[in-house]
Amino acid sequence: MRRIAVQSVILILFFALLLFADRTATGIRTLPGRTSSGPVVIRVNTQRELYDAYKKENLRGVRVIHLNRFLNMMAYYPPGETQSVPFPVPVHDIRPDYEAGLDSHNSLFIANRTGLVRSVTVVLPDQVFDERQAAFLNNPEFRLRDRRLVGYAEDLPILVTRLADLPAISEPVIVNVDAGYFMPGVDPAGAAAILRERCPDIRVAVLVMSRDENDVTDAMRKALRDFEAALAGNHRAQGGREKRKKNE
Amino acid sequence: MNKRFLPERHAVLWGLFLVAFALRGYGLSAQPATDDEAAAASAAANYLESGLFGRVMWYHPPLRNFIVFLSAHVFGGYSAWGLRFGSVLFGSLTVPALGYLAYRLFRQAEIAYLAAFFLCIDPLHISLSRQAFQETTTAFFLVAGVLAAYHGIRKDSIAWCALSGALFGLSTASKWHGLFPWMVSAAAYFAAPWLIDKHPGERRLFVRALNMLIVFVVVPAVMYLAAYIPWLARGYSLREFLDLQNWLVIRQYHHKASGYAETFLPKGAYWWFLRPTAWADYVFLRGKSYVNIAMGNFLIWVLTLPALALALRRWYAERSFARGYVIALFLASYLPLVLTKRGIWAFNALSVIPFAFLLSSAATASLRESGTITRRQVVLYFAAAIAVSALLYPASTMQTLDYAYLQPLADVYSPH
Repeated sequence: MRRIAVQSVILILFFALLLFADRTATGIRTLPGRTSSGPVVIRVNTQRELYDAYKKENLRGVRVIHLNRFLNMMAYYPPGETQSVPFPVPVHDIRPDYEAGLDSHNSLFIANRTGLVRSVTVVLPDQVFDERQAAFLNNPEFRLRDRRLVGYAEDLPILVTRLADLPAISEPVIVNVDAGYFMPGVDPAGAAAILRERCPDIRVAVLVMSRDENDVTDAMRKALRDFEAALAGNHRAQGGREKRKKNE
Repeated sequence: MNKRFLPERHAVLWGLFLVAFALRGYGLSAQPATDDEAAAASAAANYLESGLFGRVMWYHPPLRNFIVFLSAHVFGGYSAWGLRFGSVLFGSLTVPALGYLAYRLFRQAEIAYLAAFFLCIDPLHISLSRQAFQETTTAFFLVAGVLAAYHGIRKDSIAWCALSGALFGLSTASKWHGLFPWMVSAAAYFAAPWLIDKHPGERRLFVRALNMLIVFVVVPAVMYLAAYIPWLARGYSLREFLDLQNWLVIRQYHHKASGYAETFLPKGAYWWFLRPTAWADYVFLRGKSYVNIAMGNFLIWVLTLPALALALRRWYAERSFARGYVIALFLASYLPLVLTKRGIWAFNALSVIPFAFLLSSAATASLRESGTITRRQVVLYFAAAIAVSALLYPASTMQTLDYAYLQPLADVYSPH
């Protein structure tokens, strides 16, 4: 009987340890605090500048919701890390080497390698999602689950979805919205409303004009500005609703 | 039957350790770092600093990074010894550990010496002990885990079984090969009161299961999780940790090695004990080419399947727990590698050959005892096995191209 009691205590301690490990690890995540004025909105010209914005905000281990027609996760590896050299093998912090290879196509991959981002949910325009789904599924790294593509880029978890299938995400998130997301037929106000509904705790919204992308048109950039206005409007409306709830 | 392991027998096993260490450490600084080893140095430093998986074999559990990092700190940098000391040490320690395990199982010094000796001179094991990888670490922890488990099962000692669980956790945190002997040992622990005559263990199923849960699930899980602390410190939750493990299982299943390994190197585990097999590395540094051919000593490896047949026959006749345990360990470690569809290269054999050598040494001793083979034949066989290992030693230490007689081997395994 005494042995069972001791073992039960060990089991309880084990689960307490797991809980502690979970809390400690997730407590390391660093984002700007929640404010009553809504998310911090940052406008940048390119996906490359998005990385600089993340660094300025001192992000660490965050989840990103990324609205674009691209993943911006092209793999990049610094040259030389895997080449035989005479002893002693020199080692150094590899993160600056990753940053040296930063461009608009790999900004999120680099942000993961340097520890700013731990997980990315990519929201593709419906048309792009439909076009690319088969290609994703040809890759063993992705599987279809609940109409969403679940996969990895090395140890970076990726969820690829249409906006309508975006799951509700309760944790604080960073949202990137690229002008390229607003392909013909995409409604900026509707997108903002869905995003606010599914992601109630957006801490930073980075709006990317993608001025280095030739196929991003002025109409798309205008749609991005409309999205920004709608997002702010939604926030005011949501703030009002929360206030009313409190008063009631 | 020898009941006690006498002091001179410890001396033999630790003497074999010294021989193993010498074979694994000799001329280590002259052996250039492979591309993967250079990447392992960077991976170790960056994993411990920022939780970033490195470029090389990042999909394996990350204990290697700790071992390489600690070793480099002991030796003041990523010199040849700084980078590889962990592999050399754990590789060499596996030799006496296997000897002690053999003795614990079969209570015969001869079997202990044979098993330790087989591993001591195995060129594949020597070669991989001289590189900064997880193979020898995995093998050491799993052999030590089985040793502690068997002791714990026999004595029904929770403390020994908990130690075993910790060692299996460390083995699996090096490479998933540790899972197989871990599972066999957990099952053996659970079933021991019903399998071993007069076993003092608890027979109430719930209590037995609770014991097993603590020592063979909780303890190893803590060790395994601990190896991921730097990764978790990047902000990942335990749920994300479990998702990652799930993804790694899928990734391992679909794993493809380099085109060179996929095309030129033998990649079926079913060949290991039927014909010579090898893993090869190539380095070009400062204008010189180096080829490493890590090949098992086939004279020893070829004994495995006949020894398995003999062991099965004897187990069927006598139902010995120890023999059954060894057979189960061998089959559980080997069959998954045989049955998988993806390529399995020779370096993976390090987690299987300790059990193969236990079977072979037990069979050799048994045949000698029964008079089927004479001591003289065993000595001659030993001499031949030593000669094969000696001839292959330059190939296992990256000097293949320096010896003309190894050129045909280089042509087969490394057609660069």
